[in-house]
Amino acid sequence: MTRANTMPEHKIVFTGTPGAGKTTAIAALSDIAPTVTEVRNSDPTLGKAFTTVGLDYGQVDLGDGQRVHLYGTPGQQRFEFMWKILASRALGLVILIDNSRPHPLQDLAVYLDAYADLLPHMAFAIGAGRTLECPLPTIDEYVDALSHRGLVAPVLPVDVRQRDDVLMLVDTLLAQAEIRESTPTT
Amino acid sequence: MVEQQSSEMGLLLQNVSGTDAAKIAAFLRLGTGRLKHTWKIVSDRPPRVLLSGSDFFDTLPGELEGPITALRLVDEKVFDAPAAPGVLSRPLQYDDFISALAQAEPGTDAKPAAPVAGRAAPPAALPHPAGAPRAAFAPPAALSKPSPADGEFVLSRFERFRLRRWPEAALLGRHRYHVRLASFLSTRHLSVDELVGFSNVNAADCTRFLQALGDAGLLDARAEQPTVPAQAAAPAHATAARPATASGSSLFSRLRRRLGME
Repeated sequence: MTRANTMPEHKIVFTGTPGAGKTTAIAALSDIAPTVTEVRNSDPTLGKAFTTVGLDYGQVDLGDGQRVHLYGTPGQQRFEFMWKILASRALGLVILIDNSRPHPLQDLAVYLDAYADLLPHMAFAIGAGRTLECPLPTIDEYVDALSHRGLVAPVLPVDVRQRDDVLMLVDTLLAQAEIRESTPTT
Repeated sequence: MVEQQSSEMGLLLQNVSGTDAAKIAAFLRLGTGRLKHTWKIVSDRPPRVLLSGSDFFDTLPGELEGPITALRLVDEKVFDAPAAPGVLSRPLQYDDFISALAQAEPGTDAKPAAPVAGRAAPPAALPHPAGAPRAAFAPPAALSKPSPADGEFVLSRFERFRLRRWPEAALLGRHRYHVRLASFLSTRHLSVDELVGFSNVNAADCTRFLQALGDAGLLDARAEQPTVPAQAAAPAHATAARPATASGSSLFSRLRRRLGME
């Protein structure tokens, strides 16, 4: 067993609707060319030539054998069984929603349902894409959707092609994870 | 006289680029249930709101001496500028714009927006706990709709605070550190000093941000006596170090550094 295999490992998971930019977000952060498992898309409603059917993988090497793994889940709901497996014990979870899809709030609900038992105990954030082209629903409505479930978490408009936007989402995860890892002083 | 005769509210654009004007027109066409009145871009009568894309407001004696609300559209805010009232930043966001109009509608208790952007007033000194303590709360229920805090929100060094709802973009000031501060506060109750310690953001900025959240009714306060981390008990003007759990060699710090976030 190599030294690296004995070191603690950490992962950040990107999930969300097909076409929301999970692969692009991972590529924005990864030290290596992301491993993608894309196939030619057979679903004309997705509006793109290729889509992820397995998972995307990237990594950020911290040196000293430690690295942070970046996983992207397949977006289609038929792969829901993989979503929670990947997110289990993750450092954080980013849920990317494409605001240009017909029912973004319903899309969000699918992911909030799927991760319902994990979300109260883990760092997570919502990234809403294409909000400039499609301003509705508003960020405030996403926040409402979380509030109705008793959740308070970052909700940010993002353009995953902009690395800074992806970093902002990751930064919110790290802040939450840092607090969760710390012990209250009273 | 700037009030409209009907329920239609006028918005006058001054020194706003064609792109921004088109975007504003599109936002108004979209409409929203958050506005009680119909808003229209006007140029032939006194407006309810004047939105300027420059540092100055052009006035017309007898016609446009002072609209009820003046807004400024500016380039993205600089690092530590707080979300100033009456200031919208480019690229203009739908939520921010609609919120600003909603606050300008008749019958809204919100203070009129400042006609010129400026820094928020410096935070008042943190009160000593000798004042009546606020009741301790159970873990906060998420807040469905923002509401003003009960009475004036007074920030105390001897209370802990947690977000009840993720803030609107205008309050976050579109700056990463405000988003980071809000993220810390979304997870559990933190005192001012703990927030300073975790965030590495100076105490004055943390205090100002907490005060803004409290004023917006977004904070749940818990009256308890935190043990102040020694490093975080530095004077308010100093930059506090992170607590031991978040030392410079921690995973979080290393990842932030590695990704260029620090």
